[in-house]
Amino acid sequence: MVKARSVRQTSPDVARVSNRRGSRRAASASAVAIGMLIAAIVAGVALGSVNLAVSDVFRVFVDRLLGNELPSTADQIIWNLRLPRVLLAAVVGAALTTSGAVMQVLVRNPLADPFLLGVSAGASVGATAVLLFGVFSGLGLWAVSAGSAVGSLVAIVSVLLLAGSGTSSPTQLILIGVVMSALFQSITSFLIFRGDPNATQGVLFWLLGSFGRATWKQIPIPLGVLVISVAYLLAHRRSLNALALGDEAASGLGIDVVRLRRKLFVVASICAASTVAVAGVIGFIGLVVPHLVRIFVGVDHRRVLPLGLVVGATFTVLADLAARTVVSPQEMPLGVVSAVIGAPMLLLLVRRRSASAGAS
Amino acid sequence: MSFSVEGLCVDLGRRRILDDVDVRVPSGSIVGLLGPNGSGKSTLLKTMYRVNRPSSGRILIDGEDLLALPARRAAQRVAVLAQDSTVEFDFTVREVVAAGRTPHRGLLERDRPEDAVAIDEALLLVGCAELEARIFTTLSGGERQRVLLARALAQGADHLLLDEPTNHLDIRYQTMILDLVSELPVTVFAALHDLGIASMYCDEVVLLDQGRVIDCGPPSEVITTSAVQRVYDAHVLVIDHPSSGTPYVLPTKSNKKEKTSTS
Repeated sequence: MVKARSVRQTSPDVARVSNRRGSRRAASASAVAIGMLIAAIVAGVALGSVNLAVSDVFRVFVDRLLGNELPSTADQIIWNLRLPRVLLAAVVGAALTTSGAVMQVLVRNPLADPFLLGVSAGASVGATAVLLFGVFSGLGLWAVSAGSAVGSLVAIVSVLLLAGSGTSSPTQLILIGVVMSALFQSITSFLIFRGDPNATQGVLFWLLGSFGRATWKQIPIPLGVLVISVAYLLAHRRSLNALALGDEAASGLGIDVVRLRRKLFVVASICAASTVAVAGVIGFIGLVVPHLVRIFVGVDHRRVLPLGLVVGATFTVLADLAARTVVSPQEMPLGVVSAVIGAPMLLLLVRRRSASAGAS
Repeated sequence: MSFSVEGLCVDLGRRRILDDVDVRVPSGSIVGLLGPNGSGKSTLLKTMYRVNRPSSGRILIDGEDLLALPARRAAQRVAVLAQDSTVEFDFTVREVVAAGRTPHRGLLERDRPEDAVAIDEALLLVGCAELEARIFTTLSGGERQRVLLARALAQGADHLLLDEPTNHLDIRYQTMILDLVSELPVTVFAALHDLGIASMYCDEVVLLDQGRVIDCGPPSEVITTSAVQRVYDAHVLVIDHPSSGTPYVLPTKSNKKEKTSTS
């Protein structure tokens, strides 16, 4: 390979320049995103039915971190009500974005979201059974979460079983997921139809997602699931990239596509299920934010996954802030807010996509 | 650096697609896989890169069972250039080529400098270095196919499988891709659509019909008027290429058609 040898001298410089350009862009995007997340968290804690000064927020943070607990009203509002709520929103937003980004790759469809393959529909059956018929009532406040988690797991296992051990193409997987979702939704509808009409308001509110009942205790499980999932996915970043290029391409690159797809499905679904269990079904975030992130740093998962965490968290904290301030003192369901912000963003993305496709 | 396929049978659903296929690809040679649409060319290649599973038979690489190797190890030995397929995400050209390094790095390994070198070399070899920051899906068909070849080169394998890589390409790119491939110090097994082009570039060809090997050998012995007429069920005349002397297939008008038009 004489030709190859002759180019060897010049190439490392070319590589360094282009890598530097890419990573510099990713670094500045991350810096901006982290700044925005911090600002969103401070705003989320300061603003609400009672607006607090940013200086109060910092004073409470400093007091708490130094261990001087002062039983002030500001401390109550910030530490026990708003901060857990804002942090839970951040964790859920990060998890939904991670799940959505992976789901879009594993069914190779940019319009996929974390709930495409039945997780939310399964969770709805469980949560509805709890809210309307008192299933798991022994678990007290955790009953809805438990019902939702069991429902999600049933959905995940049934999709896995139906997909079988053989080759399941993205299209087959989508079909199975959509059919199972429809089945679970009809069960939910049946439960609502048979249930107490006065209690259905609560079901509707849960179905549209909310952080209204956030407590510190809700944070560890979704956070743990998120940390493990992201570590797993970052380790598989090259396989994710290869799978995004197509099944046959991935196969030629030494990837067992069928096994990888099953593993990714389980990781993305459990990630999504953990969010549903604590906050209900929050649409649009897992669909829109991965696209938003790809606009800034491209499709390489070593950049999409970390930046997705930050942008997803920011988006969700701000959406929750809007949900509880716009029609204050009432609260809007989070699903309404995320759709109102997300739908126009998605339309812009689709237009952008078709414009770039038309140019080629 | 050789392939051999021994007694390979592949069933998809209940249909037998490949029936007792034997092929030998000697070290450093280019062997063409020919046959009409649906004869099993793609199925054979896809079985070699693990998209399909064989019902029986073996695929050997330097005497070792290719399908028994871990997938990653196999991909270090065998790279694939397939027909251009749609990519749903906006990968840059460099990212597409970088995917070729996938089999060389474990889960927790970072990229090494030699990865960047392999990517640069591959891009330069196919003449696409200046395209590296472009979005892959916005390239022309010929450019895309060269980038995919660069990915296969960056994979650093000494065996190359080509699955009709020149389909839908202009004549310029058809010869460019195959010129590039024939310069490489690798063993090549290539499903090809165009019999004339196959004759020019291949040391040997294998003729497949309804999942069976009908004939194999040097192009001048396999690609004959009678064989092509029979296997492709088409009216053709095989002549010698005026400059290369290899077989060249000319379509001829069918007699049946003439009869119907005169009646």
